[in-house]
Amino acid sequence: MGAKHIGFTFSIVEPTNIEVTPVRQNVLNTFDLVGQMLSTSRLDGEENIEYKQRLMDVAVNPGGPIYEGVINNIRREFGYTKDRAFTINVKYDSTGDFVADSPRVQMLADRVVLYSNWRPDGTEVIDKEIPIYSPGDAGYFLDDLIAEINTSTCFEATIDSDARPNMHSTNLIRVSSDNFVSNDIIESDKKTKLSAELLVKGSLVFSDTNVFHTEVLSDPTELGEYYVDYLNGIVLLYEVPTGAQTVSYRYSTFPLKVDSSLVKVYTLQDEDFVKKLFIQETLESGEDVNALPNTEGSEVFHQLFKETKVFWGK
Amino acid sequence: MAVLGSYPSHRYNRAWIVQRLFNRLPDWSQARKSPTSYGQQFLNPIATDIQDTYQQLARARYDQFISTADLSQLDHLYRADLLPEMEFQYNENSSGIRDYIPPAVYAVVNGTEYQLTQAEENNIETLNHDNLPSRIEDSEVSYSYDAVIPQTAVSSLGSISPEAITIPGHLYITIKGNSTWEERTHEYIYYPKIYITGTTRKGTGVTEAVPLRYNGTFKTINEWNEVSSIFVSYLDDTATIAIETFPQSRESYLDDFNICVPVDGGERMQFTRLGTRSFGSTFIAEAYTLANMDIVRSGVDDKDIFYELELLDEVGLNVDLVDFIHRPNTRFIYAVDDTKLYVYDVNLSFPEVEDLRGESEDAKIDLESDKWILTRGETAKIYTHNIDMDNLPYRVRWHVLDPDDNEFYMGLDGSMWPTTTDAWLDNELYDQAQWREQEIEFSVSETGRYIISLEAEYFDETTNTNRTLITKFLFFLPEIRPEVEFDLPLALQSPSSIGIDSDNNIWLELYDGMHKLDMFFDYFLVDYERRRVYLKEEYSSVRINTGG
Repeated sequence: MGAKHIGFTFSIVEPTNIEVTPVRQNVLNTFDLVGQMLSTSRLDGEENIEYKQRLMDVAVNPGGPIYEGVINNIRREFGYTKDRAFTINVKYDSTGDFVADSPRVQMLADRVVLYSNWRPDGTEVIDKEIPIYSPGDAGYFLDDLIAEINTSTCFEATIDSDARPNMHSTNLIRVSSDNFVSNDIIESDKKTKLSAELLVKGSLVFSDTNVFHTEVLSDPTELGEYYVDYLNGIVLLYEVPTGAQTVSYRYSTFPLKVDSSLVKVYTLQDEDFVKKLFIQETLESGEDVNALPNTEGSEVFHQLFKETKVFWGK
Repeated sequence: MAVLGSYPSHRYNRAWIVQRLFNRLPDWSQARKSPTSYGQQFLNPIATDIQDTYQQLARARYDQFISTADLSQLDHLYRADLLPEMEFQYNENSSGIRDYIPPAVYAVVNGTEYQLTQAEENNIETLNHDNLPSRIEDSEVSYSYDAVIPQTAVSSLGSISPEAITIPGHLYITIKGNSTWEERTHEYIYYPKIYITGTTRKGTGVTEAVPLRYNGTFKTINEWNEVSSIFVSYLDDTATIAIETFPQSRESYLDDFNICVPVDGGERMQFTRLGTRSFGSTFIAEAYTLANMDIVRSGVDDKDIFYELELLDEVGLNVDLVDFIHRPNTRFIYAVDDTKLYVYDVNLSFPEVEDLRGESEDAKIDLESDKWILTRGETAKIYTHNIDMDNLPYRVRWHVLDPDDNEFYMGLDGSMWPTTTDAWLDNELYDQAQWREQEIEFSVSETGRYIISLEAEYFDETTNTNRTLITKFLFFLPEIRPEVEFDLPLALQSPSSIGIDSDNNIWLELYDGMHKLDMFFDYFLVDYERRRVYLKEEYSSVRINTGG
């Protein structure tokens, strides 16, 4: 806007030309309406193609209140993907059987535990335990973790072709190789193929312990005996059972596919995680206890107190 | 200064729904049989609106599901606000209504300033749908490309492993040469299917079963990232099957936006493809001869051409196209030859019917033909059908008006005579009160409309005078020019095919793989009340001149 002097009068000349940098603005369309139903809003600047993939992810990787559901919810809110990091498999011996007696892989907040023999009754033999939480830990970076796993007797690991080798292992989504099946049906037959394979030894719980009384290591020869092919998920009985029979059991998933995400979730109920927030002291009794918060712990608690209303007194 | 963007030509088209409306009339009625009858001319505009509504409903139906929702629907715009002291110019009439003057909007593209085009009618509908691309560029993104399974005999499928998918998305299955379409047991009927196992684009491992119901091309419901195995059931060993990211093995497209509605009422699926004639390429819309797919599957699978459009370039020369694709949810196709990309509106236009006037209301001889839409070089066949045997002409004459408005008389052998000739043909059976129906074949060599008139002279004994009754028939040889055409970037010339992926990106196949073509729509909308301009494309800066 300018003013020019014309004799003793002034006139205002309004501009008719402007140069601007346009600003991006989202436009509501069908995908946004579907997103409202799925509680997944479009991110600023997100186009239909990416938004569609994120919406479809809602069904594939549902959110929820448990660990993996929380990760899915948070990473989807931010538009982060879940990517394959690596795969763990069991090693086989020359007979085609597992090297491990009862293999299990468990990823904890601060370490990866490889069991050569794990039973639900608490019996466990650890093949290798690889710390991953702190810089300097043997498995802090993904390629180091994989290298460590490959030195174990019973397991081997392969990195995904698109994964970054120098990714922090704490970005891995914690999984365990074992799963639980409740009340799988035993057919009215001497031989039953269960829903799963790679059964965990010692985990089968039958509904009728009279029919399934004694486990044998080869074909059953008497009433009450049963044989379990743990590798193929097959149960053999001496005689056809009567009545409805069920079995609950654990089974392993191998090869175990491990994913990564930029979102990490820890809970203060997790002792393995809480330990990392405190300086560890060893008492005279030999017990390790949490002492004062360390630097990371201080930051975490400080942030928690900042965000949480704390009331003192009455 | 060069202007980016242009409007579609909005040619007046023949709506296929008009034939559906007139198929409610008796099959002998002229209004039903003749596409250029007064009745169909009258209802065609209304049918056009009904057809637009039908297609909007089809789009809305697709939009109900994420996997089929239109990805090209608007998801963002770029907004440029005027300064607080700026206003758009307008003229105000005596009622106080403002007629705004559109601003001039300029943007810098690749270092050059261009003027942009306002969206037609300045509404968001035209900004989003039915707009024409304004420029194309080489995206410089390319991938080597192989079919997941090249065209292979079913008996050899076991020896082939699926190739990697370089561009994730829907897969197209093309089956050819199969003749077995069901297997019956005493309890069940089994239909041929293909089972695709692998990982979808969203990361799930699934097996999708795709029913195969005729020799043609089928699209998967899932978008695929990787295929691990293929299994087919109940197909002939000698049938061949291909699985591709782009349906290059297809013989024709299934047009899911239009239907063929013939006069006999048996509506059928419309397929489209390019045709090759001696003069160049054509666009063909065709359908199975029979509407009953069970008979089609039994082997009676010939197709009839419903219409064939001669394709020209902007200056009216014929083109030799390599391939084309349908732009989803629109009436446009994108077609390529060695050096150019063409955008055509492939709806059938309505012919010039002005010269059908002058037909006698009480004409007693109908003119009929098996086909009224022809292509250059074809033979037109016309025959008479006398509907009043109590009143017979004593002589007739055939008159032809060609697309250049040249007039001829025509002999029974199809030869053309100048209008100075006495071309009257006596009814040789007039004395026996008989009439022999006539049938004439003649060749057509130009695009446009041919009007064939049959002049029949009658002697009225009561008044002792002669009177001439005229019946007319229209043959139509349609041609179309592109709405817009572009020179292909040098690096993308001589493509062997064009494809569109599941994200609506355009790809050209060259000798070394698939190359992505970027397409831009340089249009803007003006919100006069809020004093802002919305743009479809992103620019680093935009200049708005409100004039005055």
